[in-house]
Amino acid sequence: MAMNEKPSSGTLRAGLKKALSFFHLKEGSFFYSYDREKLVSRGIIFLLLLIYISVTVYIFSQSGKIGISDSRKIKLVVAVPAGQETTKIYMELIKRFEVKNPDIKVELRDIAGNYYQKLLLMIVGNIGPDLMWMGQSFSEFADRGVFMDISERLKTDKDIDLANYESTVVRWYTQDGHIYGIPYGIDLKFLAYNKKLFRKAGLAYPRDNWTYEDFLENARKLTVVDKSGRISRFGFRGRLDYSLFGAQVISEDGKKILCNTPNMINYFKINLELQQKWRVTPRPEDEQQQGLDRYSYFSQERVAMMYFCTWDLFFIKTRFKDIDWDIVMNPKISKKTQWASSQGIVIAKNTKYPDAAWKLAKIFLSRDFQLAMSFECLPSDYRYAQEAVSLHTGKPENYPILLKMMKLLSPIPRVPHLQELFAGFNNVSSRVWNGLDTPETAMTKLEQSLNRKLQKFKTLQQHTEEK
Amino acid sequence: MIMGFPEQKHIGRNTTAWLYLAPNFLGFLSFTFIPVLFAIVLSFFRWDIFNPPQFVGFENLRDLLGMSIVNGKIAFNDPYFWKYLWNTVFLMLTIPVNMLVSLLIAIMLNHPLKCIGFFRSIFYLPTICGGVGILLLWSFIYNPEFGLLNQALALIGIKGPGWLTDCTWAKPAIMLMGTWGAMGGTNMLLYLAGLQGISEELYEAANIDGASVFQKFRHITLPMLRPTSFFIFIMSVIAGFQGGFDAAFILTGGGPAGATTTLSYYIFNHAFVWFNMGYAATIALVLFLIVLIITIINWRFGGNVHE
Repeated sequence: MAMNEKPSSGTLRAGLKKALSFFHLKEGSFFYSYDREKLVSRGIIFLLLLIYISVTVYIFSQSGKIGISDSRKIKLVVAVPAGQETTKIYMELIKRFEVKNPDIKVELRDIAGNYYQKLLLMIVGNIGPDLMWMGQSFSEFADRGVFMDISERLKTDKDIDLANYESTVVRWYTQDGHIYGIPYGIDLKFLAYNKKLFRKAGLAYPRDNWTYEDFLENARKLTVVDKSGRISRFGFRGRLDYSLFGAQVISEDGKKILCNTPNMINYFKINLELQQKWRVTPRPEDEQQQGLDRYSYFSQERVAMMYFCTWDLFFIKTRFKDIDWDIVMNPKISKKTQWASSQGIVIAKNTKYPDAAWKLAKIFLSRDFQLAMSFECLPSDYRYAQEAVSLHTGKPENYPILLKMMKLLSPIPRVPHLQELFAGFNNVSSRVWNGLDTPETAMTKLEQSLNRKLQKFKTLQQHTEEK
Repeated sequence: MIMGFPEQKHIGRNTTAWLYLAPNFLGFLSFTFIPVLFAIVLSFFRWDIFNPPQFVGFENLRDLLGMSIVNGKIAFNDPYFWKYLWNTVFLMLTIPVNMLVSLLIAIMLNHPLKCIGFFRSIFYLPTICGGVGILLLWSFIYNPEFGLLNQALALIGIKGPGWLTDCTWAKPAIMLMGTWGAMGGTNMLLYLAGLQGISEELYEAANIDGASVFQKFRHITLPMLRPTSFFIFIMSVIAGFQGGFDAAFILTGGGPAGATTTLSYYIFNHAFVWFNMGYAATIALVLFLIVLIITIINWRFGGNVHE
């Protein structure tokens, strides 16, 4: 019988039909064929598919095991956001740690851009680091059980005394009573001002105990309108923080939305007045952000006062070296507060070497490291912060006020889903600044939207707990 | 056996064909088909990536498309979705303009001019240079103070707006950029190919009848290009629904006030910024259904083009 010759027997055909009908296969369907040629072709396809599925399953099962085994040493991976200056310090620290601990090898992964997204993908891909830098997005990860609880270790370890840290600082990496980390540095926002422009306007330099009225008067006098009626210099650039008005978006425990309050409405109204009534700060349409970095506004004397953060310090000290500038605390409105955030190293819950990871995590709280990093954040240990301030030379002269600011910290509450909740706030705020909504309408809408989100998160949490 | 291939060769030929197809087929399976299936399944789950997915049935769909009564008023459960869908559709309003401009350029480039190859290359250049570089170039053009556009407007006494920071102008700015990129690219090439496929005899007959240039364009060129136009329209609509991500991500961050956030950027935020993978998959599924429905309608409606 030729290879492609179909069986002539009706009995065979009927038998095959019966057998295939058991599998609900109809004549003419893909699987229904006793043609040898087709069977061979299809056999090859199935073989290829089988190989494909096996290879895929094998690759998935091996993910996370590739390239990180080292039989001779304990290997720890530390992930940090890339930074030219900071990476050098991390490398130096790690080198010293490896000399002291020859059995531990540390690999630094400095991640450039979109740090949290990349970290997330590393963790999900089972190649997450053993230790990782963490800032504002702490709760996003902590809520998902990514970090190792160090509460017990902190109690028993004599190298770290929590009494040297402000309670706000300790709370930063705490969730549901569990401590997951202690920040090594505090990020602070301060108001920088151009001293020359103050002198030129016949104004005394601002003092740390100044009020909103003082601030407004100075900003008005520092604003310059040219002959064509165009504002060539604004007295102030930015927005006064809502915490200064005693307002909050969400409660510290993350359970209550607080955006629709008279304090928050006042925050919008005062800042809108600065933009529209007094014209001392640029409106969104005046903002010339594209292609011009924000430092240029200050260096080109386009504004007399504007906010910077401690992480800008290293850069602006060089950039503004020819400018006579200094820093001052926020003016008092209804409260005297300072926006703040933190930088810290936390340990992954699934690290293979928790003891070695803890050993390494502790050196990020050491005096040497905190002082070395003080060029971009204030040491979180109050003793080292004082030392950093005493070692500081040059501009800004009023650098010691950072110590005072440490007592007035007003961080954004570290709550789960923070980024999603604040994306809503920023979106709605932007509508207010652009005159598309009144503060009252915007905050009413936002309150409804955020409450709905909170409810959703709560339901999700309940489902997870039930499971 | 006289006719055809011997049996062994027949089997070998099929196998060879399958082996040639296999890399592409497996690539499609790995990077398109399985992920799409996975996304569809995922849309019925809540998944924050870290914890195991949780089956929630149609809850994501209800949160996305449903409505509820808040303070006695009916409100969308996710008003942002509708806003961003509107943004996406709004940005697609340039499709007819893009097509028209592409057609005009193609007509110009269809003439046997000197150095026509050079001009064709020049007009195709935006497609070759596409990407982040082009977006950054546009960010300089749109710079409110030093940008080319506002400098040009200043010459005629107009104070240009903050193109990418102003709620009113951000969308038109993105649209203008899109038109620039689309007019001389693939659409133009397709029209050019379509124009070269029109028989000269039709124009000669029209000339004998004394038809004007406009009449020839209206009664010969346009009808003969209907299949091309239809194809370009469908592809542009599909691309439009999926588009807007790069401009939002690189130029505007979706702002100001969400004015340039499109569905694709919203999906990205839900998936990779807020870790709501299930919800992101639901938006993607709805987007897929929208594109599917529009394509089916277009195909049914567009069936006439071949008549």
